[in-house]
Amino acid sequence: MPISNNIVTTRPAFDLPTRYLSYWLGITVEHAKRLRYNVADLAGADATKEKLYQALVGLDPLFFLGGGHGEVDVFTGDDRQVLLNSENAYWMAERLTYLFSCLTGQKLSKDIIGAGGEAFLGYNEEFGFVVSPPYIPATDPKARGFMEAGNAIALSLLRGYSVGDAYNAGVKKFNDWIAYWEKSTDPLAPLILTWLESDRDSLVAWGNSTARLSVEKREEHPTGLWPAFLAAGGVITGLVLATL
Amino acid sequence: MVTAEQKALAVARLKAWIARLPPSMRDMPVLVLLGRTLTPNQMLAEAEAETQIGSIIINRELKMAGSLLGR
Repeated sequence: MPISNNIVTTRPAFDLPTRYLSYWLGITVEHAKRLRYNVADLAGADATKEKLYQALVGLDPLFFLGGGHGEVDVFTGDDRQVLLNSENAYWMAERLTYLFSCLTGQKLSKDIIGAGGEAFLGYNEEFGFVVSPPYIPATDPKARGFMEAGNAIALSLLRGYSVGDAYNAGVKKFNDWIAYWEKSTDPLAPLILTWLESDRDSLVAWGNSTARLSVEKREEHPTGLWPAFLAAGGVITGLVLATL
Repeated sequence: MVTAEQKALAVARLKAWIARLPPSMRDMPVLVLLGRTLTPNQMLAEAEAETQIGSIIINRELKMAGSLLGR
């Protein structure tokens, strides 16, 4: 039985698309840590099949979160090394899997569910997104909506919501950004709208829609220190309150 | 598979959009798709040639055209 408090992520960063995905999934990883999950974060060159297998065996996570290039029947890591395919889909048995990648919702998703996967979230078409110079993932305003929508799905799961809720959270975030860009006069707005709508409509969820990572809803603590401070009977002064 | 008329519609939409872009943006990489980063002019060339990536672009343009008609 996978451990609900454990998570494994892969987020290679060897080309422009994966650098964007890796940066934004890194934000999700930080949220996961603040939500008190144990995370094996296989970033950059660590996103290999060998390290993924080791992490899955070592942590037996309930949730696998992967970002990277995908095809209909393949999900990849660093330098497009194959991490998951029909031959090893059983690695995701009993787990919740969310792949932030192209196309894996078409067949790999069904291989995973067929091999006993609890649930799968991902995209059944090409995930396209818009970027702009100087191509800095953290500050690129054109890419932000795509990345936030993709992250909303993982964040919803991490906060204790169900797979069905996570799907709806993703669709809502796409729709929020569509509404934003519909009002824009930016010359790239038509392109952004085309791909936000396409990505939203290619989001799929298979398996147990009521599955969740946590029986209780989780809330973040900014530093992780305040709960310990309070549990130890710490006294909150007016000055401390002002900084919260 | 798209018809010649559908392809022409998609290409016309792309050309109209590119014509509205500032010239400096027409050769600026903007669309990340299938591991590539395409400029607007490259998107048009791929669509006109009906390459794999061009066919995807055509399909999305047609979807948007239908979506706009439905509003």
